[in-house]
Amino acid sequence: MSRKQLYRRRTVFLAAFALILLFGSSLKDSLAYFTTYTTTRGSARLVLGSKTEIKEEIEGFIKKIQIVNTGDADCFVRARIYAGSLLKLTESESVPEGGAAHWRKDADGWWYYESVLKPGEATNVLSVEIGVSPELMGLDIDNFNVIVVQESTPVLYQEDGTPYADWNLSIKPEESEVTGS
Amino acid sequence: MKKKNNKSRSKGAYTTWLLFGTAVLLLLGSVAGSSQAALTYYSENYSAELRMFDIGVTLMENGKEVSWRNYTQKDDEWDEGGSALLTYLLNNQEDGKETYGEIQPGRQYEEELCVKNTGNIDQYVRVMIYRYWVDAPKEGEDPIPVEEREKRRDISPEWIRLNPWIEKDGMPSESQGWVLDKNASTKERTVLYYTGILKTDEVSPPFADNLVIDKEVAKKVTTTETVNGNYKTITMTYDYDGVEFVLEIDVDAVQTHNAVDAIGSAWGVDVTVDADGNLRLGR
Repeated sequence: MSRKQLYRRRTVFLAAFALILLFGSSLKDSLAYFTTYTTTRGSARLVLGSKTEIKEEIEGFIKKIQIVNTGDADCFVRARIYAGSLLKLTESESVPEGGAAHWRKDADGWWYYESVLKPGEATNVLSVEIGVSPELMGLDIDNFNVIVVQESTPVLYQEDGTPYADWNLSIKPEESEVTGS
Repeated sequence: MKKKNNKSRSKGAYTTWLLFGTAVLLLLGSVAGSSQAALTYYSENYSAELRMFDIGVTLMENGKEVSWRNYTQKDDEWDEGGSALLTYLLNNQEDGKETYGEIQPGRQYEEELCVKNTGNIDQYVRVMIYRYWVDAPKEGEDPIPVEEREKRRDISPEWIRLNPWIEKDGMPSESQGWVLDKNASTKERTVLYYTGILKTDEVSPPFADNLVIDKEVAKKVTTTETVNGNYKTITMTYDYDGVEFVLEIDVDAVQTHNAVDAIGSAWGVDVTVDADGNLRLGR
């Protein structure tokens, strides 16, 4: 490369460099728009699982049933009592003094506890009196079964905050069996 | 001959330095112009109010400021802060009784979300709403920040129903001056633009008003059967019991001056602005 060419190249380079410097100095201003932003987040735990247990006592021919919420979420419970046709069952609620009745028997045969059962709470006692019919006494059998089935379901809410149970979502059907003779 | 070469070389060098000198003069001249303008301004004999242009934006949740970032009239210093979303919502249920950060499916929780202009210039704003699920910390485990937990991609973000932007009910294209950017939105992310100008201290209409966790989340169960003596227990375990949902909101604000270019540069989207200052997506 001749010296003349070298000078010419340097001239062009320096001129271009100077122009870049010139336009670069005004470029920053035109890109500086006023902007800002803010970000936040939050989270919450979904509680669905409920645990319940049957607590029962047998006094003669009376079976006393209570259902206890042993989980950490509110729930609704229901119970149903099964026995052979030769046994006569008389079911009733024992309302504690100063308390209110909550058990309601529905046409579908289930007893529904209409109050929300909070963790650690137990239902009112549902008593089942077992009546042995004369036909049964005449039969040569030495025992009979009375079966209690209970189910629980988590508390759901209407949009206005009213709690309700959806028994299609019920969990943990539990059966207890009592054998008499 | 040699003499002619030397003459030509010196002419080339002269041209080079002349051009370079001119360029330097031009460069210095552009700076000197600004300085001269500043000096002229201050040499006037009357006082003038010097007003700084500061931009600031704040997210409001149920009437309270939850997150903000405001310019403080100092070099690149911002007043920013706030708290998490949903905190007071969860702590004020049932006559002030704390609910330990738990939420019930199907229940409608008030979640009115607005944007406030906390700067001193008019602005356009947009919000990006993210909804997703994460695993809750296990018992005895050290608490891990939500953003560091693994996302549960098997649970639908659509079950986090932030009204009115609910796919199941037919996602609206606009609501109360907020328009949905369908191209930028997904099941997890909803992008909304406020079409009007948000003036200083003005609070936008709400872009959401309530939150419901869809009851569908309670329908996924696993059944196990165990026999224990006279008892048979059928246990149905809720697959999504104990998971956490996350609601995350980004708010962006930009100047209204030269808005089309400013929004294109800052947000990377094409918009048009009509004579009344109303924003429209796309050119």
